[in-house]
Amino acid sequence: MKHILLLIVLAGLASVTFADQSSALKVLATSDATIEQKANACDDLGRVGTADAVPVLADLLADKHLHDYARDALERIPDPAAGKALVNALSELKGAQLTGVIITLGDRAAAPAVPALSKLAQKKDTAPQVRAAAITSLAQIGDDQSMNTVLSVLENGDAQAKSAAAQATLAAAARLERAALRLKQKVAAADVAEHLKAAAAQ
Amino acid sequence: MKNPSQKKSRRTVLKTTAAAIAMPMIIPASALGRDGAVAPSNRIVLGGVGLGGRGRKVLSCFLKQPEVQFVTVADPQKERREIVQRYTKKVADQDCEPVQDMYEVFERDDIDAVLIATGDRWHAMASMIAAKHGKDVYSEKPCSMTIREAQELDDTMRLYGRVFQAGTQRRSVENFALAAKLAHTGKLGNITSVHAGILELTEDLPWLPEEPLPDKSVIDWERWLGPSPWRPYNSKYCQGRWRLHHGLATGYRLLEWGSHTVDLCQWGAQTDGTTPVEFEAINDTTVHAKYANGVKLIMRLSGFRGEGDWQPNLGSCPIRFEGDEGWVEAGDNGNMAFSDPKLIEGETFDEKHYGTDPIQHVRNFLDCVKSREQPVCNASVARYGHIAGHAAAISWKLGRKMGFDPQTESFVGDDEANRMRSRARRAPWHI
Repeated sequence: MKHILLLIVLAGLASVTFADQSSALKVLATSDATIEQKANACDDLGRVGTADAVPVLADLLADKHLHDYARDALERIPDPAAGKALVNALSELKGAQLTGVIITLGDRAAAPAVPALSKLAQKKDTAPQVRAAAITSLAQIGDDQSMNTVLSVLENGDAQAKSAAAQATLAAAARLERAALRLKQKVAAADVAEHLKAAAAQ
Repeated sequence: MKNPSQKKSRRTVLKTTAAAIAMPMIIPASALGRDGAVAPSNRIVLGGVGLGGRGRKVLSCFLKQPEVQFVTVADPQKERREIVQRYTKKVADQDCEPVQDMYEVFERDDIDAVLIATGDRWHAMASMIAAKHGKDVYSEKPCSMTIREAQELDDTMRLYGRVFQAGTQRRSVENFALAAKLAHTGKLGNITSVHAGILELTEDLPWLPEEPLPDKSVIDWERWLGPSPWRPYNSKYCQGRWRLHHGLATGYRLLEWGSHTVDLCQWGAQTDGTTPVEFEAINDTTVHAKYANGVKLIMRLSGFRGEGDWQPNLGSCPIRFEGDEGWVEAGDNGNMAFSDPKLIEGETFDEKHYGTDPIQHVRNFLDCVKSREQPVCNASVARYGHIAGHAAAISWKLGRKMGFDPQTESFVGDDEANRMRSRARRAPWHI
């Protein structure tokens, strides 16, 4: 019976995509599924996954071949559980996998990651690639605490870290400028007095 | 790996030369820019990244420009970079240094601009890394893998003040430009619909079977994959069969031609700076979209064998602009078709200038590198045209009609579609 169920699941893998979360989770739980089938399942979870998919995906973050796919899915699942799983993974991963998780935390603007990322950004023995990613992600998160760390690195870091902090700070500044412009455009389009519209146009 | 900082930059050489000529000496006229030669200070030093067949076609147009000096090409494939080296020597008698790592190109401070013609997966990322190193960029299309990359590319070029030209060269081709002029000048009346020729949309292909990894000096697979998620090596990917593979290509083939034709429709409809507000895939060959002002964007089948309901003999990548008083169609073979020949009275266009020819587009880019103005297909233009293409492809993939907010560049009330606006990039690649 178990084999029949497995065949049914695998028979459905001919299609590039899966219809729903439960099918994708079944594939990830199937030891006979290929790496490609599991990669496709991760992609599907990135589209439709919920907090229920997070533990399974988090377990794949240390997988040599599926790390990219699992991280991509976790990046796209909006539930805070995904962000929490990524923060937890920071202490367990190394090298490119650690760098990848740091990048994803920045892309998610995950504020809970700030203390851990700040440590990585400021520790002298952090690998340059990891440190640069941490600095970039802190600036993407962009709250007061994270920007304090980035600006501290900009002032006190070594040349490589300063360069990363400068780029990250510029990007954060540009985001603020765009946000300010959007707010001004809202005022300019509102039914308000002309002098307020004029102020928005400055 | 050579340390680029040990090399003498163009500007260092110029400074040294300036100091050296304090004493009287004879300077050849060519060095001063007379006798038809370009003075060193007016030269544009170019590097290349990932130049295959199409890349060499674009490179050939750069090499025809007197001020261009092509000095290096990066490619993770040894054979391809050496082909470019030989090609450059043969057609322009210029010495081009082949290197494996694109950073060796970007970190050279004598280089002003780069030509990026990798596979789709690298276009945006390499362009943004180049911009961060202070280089201007001409990038082949599609210029982004996702909606997010289209945004990031534009934002990065703006932030670093770089000149960027998307390789959607048809805006610089006469018959397409005339079609846009007819739309812009009211000769077609009020524009009601714009039509973009596309290839049939298809699902991504399964992975190719794993083959033994070649020596890194022959093909550096990690660098070849770049920001794409890991997959096992197969030599065919490196020979051009990366198309239609998820993560290596984008848009289920819609952006293959749609990068060009949707871009032209954005131009014709004068909607640069925005996108449609609604997308609906009708079937595998037709996607409908609508702008906020009611103008329709119809993406529909065309093909290399004249598929689709287009005027005959226009060739690939056809477009149609339709107004309430007339219509025009144009395609890659240089021809046009009209509702009324009177529409082009007094107008001329070169029927021999094919849509695939980027010579004028390259010229526009080089002029802008000098003037610091933005080219016709700058990063902002590419942003909105590509977002429209990506959104259309997503609507096809999900098989449903969806609203789109051009302000937030997101789908309205469709979480799944919004999640498809981006993909994580493989570490360590990030902006």
